[in-house]
Amino acid sequence: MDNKRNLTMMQACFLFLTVIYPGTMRLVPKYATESANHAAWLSPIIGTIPMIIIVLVIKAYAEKFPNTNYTDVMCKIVGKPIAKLLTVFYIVWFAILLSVLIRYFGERLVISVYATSNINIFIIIFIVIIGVLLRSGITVIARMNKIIYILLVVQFTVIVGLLLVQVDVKNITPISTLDILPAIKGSLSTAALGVHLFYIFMLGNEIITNKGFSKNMIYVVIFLLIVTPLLTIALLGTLGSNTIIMSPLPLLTAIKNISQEGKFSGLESVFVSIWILADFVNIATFSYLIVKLLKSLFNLKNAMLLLNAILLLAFILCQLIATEVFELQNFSMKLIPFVNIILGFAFPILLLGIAKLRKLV
Amino acid sequence: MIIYIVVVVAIGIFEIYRMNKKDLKKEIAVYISLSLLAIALAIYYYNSSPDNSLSRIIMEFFNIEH
Repeated sequence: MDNKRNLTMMQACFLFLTVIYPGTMRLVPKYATESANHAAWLSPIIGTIPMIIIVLVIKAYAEKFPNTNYTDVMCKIVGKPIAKLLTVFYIVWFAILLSVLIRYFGERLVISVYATSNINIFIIIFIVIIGVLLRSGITVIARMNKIIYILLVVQFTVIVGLLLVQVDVKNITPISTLDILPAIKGSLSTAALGVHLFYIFMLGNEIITNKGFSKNMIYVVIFLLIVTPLLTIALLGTLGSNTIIMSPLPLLTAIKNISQEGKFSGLESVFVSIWILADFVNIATFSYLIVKLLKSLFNLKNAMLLLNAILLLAFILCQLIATEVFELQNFSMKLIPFVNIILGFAFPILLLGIAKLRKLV
Repeated sequence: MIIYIVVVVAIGIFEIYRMNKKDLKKEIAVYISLSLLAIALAIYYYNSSPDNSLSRIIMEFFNIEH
């Protein structure tokens, strides 16, 4: 294995954290608040439980099928025809996710900073940059991501810190046993983002998995266990449940509120520019996953040459995916988490069960 | 729409030329299929009504309220 062209375990985990960053900021507080209201901050805590199961599933796959990508694993378990069909499902779903991510990137810029600009200008520039940089492979993006990840952590700390001092405890209490079921319902978005860890590990043979690799993933889960409830408390405590439900991007609304107070004017521009970096990593990762799945599906020698076709397809799909941001949000909240859970959580567990029955693991 | 189709065709010619030089037949077939799909979607997008969207179609297919 050429180690220079592969991802280290740490790079893969950082990649996962950056990939879920935009979704966590956009979706988790809103989804949890719609279900659990003032108890929404409990939902991300519950949502990390499926993530632990995902870690165990990844560990089982990596130990029994080392240096093998997911399509090849599926071929060994359920045979070639079904494995290829499942790969097609994954490709179609990743293409839809890619179009949603690209559209969100453009909408965010138009909503927050460039209100009168044409969204397509930003999308085209972004796609061209990804098309150029991703040609060198995912390792280049993963190395860049180390710096991007640090920026995201700093940004998150500053924003949540500024919001936490303004938290109104009335917005996040009281909590009773009646809140448990809504909080479980609200945890779906966190769990659905957690499955991205599995998506990244679909690269299989491109990630160097050493003996204690699952420890890194457990650290990631612990990190999310702290960070996601904190974010929800900060937003829910400052904005209240009604504003979160009504706002298309609640975190941006909260940042605009801080910015308008005067001390931190222009904060949203800094916030949006760092958020774009996370979008870049996110979109590049999904484009790469599609390339790799196409490679396994058709046994291609050099699938990276398909990147331009995939990005051009993603451009038209992102135009088609929704007419406006509320429709996009509706789609993100009502369908994407469910399909993610099926493809990134239920399917891998089911396949592992079949492998056990067939005594392959 | 015409600009988009011209861009898809122009990039396609360039990429297929590169693939042909390396004798990557399968890659060429997949590239052409993806490009044709992109063009078909572009034609559909520019000819469909402005309030028509993929998310709406998918959600209606799964019978999800939107």
